[in-house]
Amino acid sequence: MINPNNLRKHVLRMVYEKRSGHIGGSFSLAEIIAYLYSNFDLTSNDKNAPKLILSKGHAVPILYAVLYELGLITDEEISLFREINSPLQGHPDKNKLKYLHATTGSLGQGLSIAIGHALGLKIISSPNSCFCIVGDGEIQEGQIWEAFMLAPKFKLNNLIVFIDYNGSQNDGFVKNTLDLEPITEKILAFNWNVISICGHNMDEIDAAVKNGLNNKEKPTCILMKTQKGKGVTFLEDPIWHAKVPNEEEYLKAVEELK
Amino acid sequence: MIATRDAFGNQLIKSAKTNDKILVLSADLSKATKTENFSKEYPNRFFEIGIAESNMIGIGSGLSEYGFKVVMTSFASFLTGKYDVIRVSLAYSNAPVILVGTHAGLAIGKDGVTQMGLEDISLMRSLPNMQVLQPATPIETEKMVEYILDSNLDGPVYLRLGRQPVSEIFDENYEFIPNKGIVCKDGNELAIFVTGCLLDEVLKAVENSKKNCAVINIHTIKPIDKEIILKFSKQCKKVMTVEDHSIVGGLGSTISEVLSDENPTLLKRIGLNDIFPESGVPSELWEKYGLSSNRIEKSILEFLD
Repeated sequence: MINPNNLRKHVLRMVYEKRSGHIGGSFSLAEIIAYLYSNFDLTSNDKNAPKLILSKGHAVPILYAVLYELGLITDEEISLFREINSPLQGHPDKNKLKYLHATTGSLGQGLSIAIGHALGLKIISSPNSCFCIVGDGEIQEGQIWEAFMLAPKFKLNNLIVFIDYNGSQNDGFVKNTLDLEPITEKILAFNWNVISICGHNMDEIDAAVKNGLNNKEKPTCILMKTQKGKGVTFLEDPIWHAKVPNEEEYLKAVEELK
Repeated sequence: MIATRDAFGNQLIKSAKTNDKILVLSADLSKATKTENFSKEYPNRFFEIGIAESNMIGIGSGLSEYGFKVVMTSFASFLTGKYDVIRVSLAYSNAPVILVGTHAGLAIGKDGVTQMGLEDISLMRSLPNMQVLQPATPIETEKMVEYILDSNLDGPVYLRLGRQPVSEIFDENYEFIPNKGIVCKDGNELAIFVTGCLLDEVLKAVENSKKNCAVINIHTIKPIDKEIILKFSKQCKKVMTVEDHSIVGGLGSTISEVLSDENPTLLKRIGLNDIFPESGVPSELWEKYGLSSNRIEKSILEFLD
C-alpha cells in the first residue's frame, strides 16, 4: 500500500521548489489517491483498464506525486513541474503525460468526461470502472448537475465519484461562498448511491469503494469529509489553497510528515 | 431540394451500415438536427443526453477514447455557446469527435436571434486543433460526411449545416478533397469566396451582374486553402467574401488574414456587419441584411464600380 504521507512529501517538495501550485487540495486527496493507485491499475494505457478523472485539476500535484512514488516519472521530470517544456503542466494534460486519463482544469467538466468513459467501458464490455474526483467548491458549476442528472439514466454502476468535501475553495469557506447543504439529500434525490465517509480513513474508503463496485444499477457518489492541508497542522487552514510555504514553513512541514 | 442538415442525416445512416463505430449523442433536437432516423435504426448507438450541451460535449470527449466516431448535434448557436467546454474537453484534449451545428445563419428566421448560429465559425476557428467545415449543397454534404466518418480524425471537427433547402450545384462525380477550395466558375474581374448555403445565391448574383467573376466554394474554413486564395487574388483585381455569418471572425476574416500576410488585395466582406439581426421570414432577412442574390449582385456592381 502506498503511504499517503510520502505523496504529501512529494507534493510539498514540488510546490516549495517551484514556488507555485496547490498544496491544500492535493493534501486532502492523499489517502484516496494512495488507495486507488494501490488497488487499481490506473496507469495502463489499455482501453479496458480502469480510469481516473481528476476533475479538480488544480490538485494535479497529488497525481504527479503518486506517479513519482510508483517510479513512472523521474526526479528530472518532477523537477520540471510547472516549468517550460515539461510534461508536468500546471493542470493535467493527458496529451503531455500519458498516464493521465483526462485534460482538466476548467472546473465542472470532468464528471461529464467520466460519464463518457464509464459508457465507453460498458460498450466495449470492460468489467472495469471509472473513478472521478470533484472538488466541493467545484460542484457549484452547473455542468456537474447536468452530469449528476444523467448518469443514473444510463445505469452507470461502473462510475464512482468522490467529492473532496474539505470545506474551502479559492476565496474561503464553501459554506460562505455558496453552501452545498443538504448535499447528501440532493445527490440522493438525483437517484445515486450515496455514501458518506471520512476521506482520510483507509478502512472507510475501502468499504465505500467496494460498496460502489458491488452496486448493480446505480452510479455511486462517495462524499469524503476531508481536511484541506491534512497531515501538517499549520497547513490545515483554507489560506493554503494556493499558498507556497517559505523555507522555515517547508522544513517544519517535512518534519511533521516524517 | 433538401437542406444540408437532411443530407447529413441521410449519410449518417448510410455510413452507419458499414461502420459500427459511429455513435450519436443528442441534446434533444434530434428531429431538427436530423439524427432521429439514426436513433430509430440504431437505438443502441444513439444516446439522448437531454438539453445539456456541455454535458454532451464532455461525454463525447470521454467516449472518443474508446475508438468510436462520436457525432454530437445541436443548433450551431447552442453548441458553440459552450465555448469553454469545447475549448478544454475537446480542443485542448484533442478529442477526435464531430460536432455538428445546424440552423446556421439567418435561415431559422421567425425564431429569431437566439436560435441563429451567427458567430460559430469565429468561435470554433479560434481554437487550436479544431477543423471547421461547411458544405454548400446536399451532395457536397454527403461526400464530406462520408469522408469524415470513414477517416481517422486527429482532432475535433466542427461541421456547420443549414436549415433551408438548397439547390444542387454538383453531381454524383463530386469528390470531396479535404482542405481544397472548389472553383465553381472562373473569372478575372473579381474573386468571390463563399462558404455554405449561399453558394447558389452567389452564382445567381454573378450571372445577373454580367461581370466576369470567379466563384470559389470554400468547404473547409480551417485549415484554409491558401493556395487557391493566393491564385485568385493574383488573377483578379479584387476579392469578395460571402457568408451567412458575422463578418467578424468568419470566412471574410480568414481570407483577409491570408491576403494581409501574403498578398495584400482589396477585399469586401459580405455578411452580418457586427450586429444582431431579428425575427422574420428568412428571404426577407437575407434581403434586408445583404445576403439575397439581389443584394449580393448590387454589392458586386458597387465594388467593381
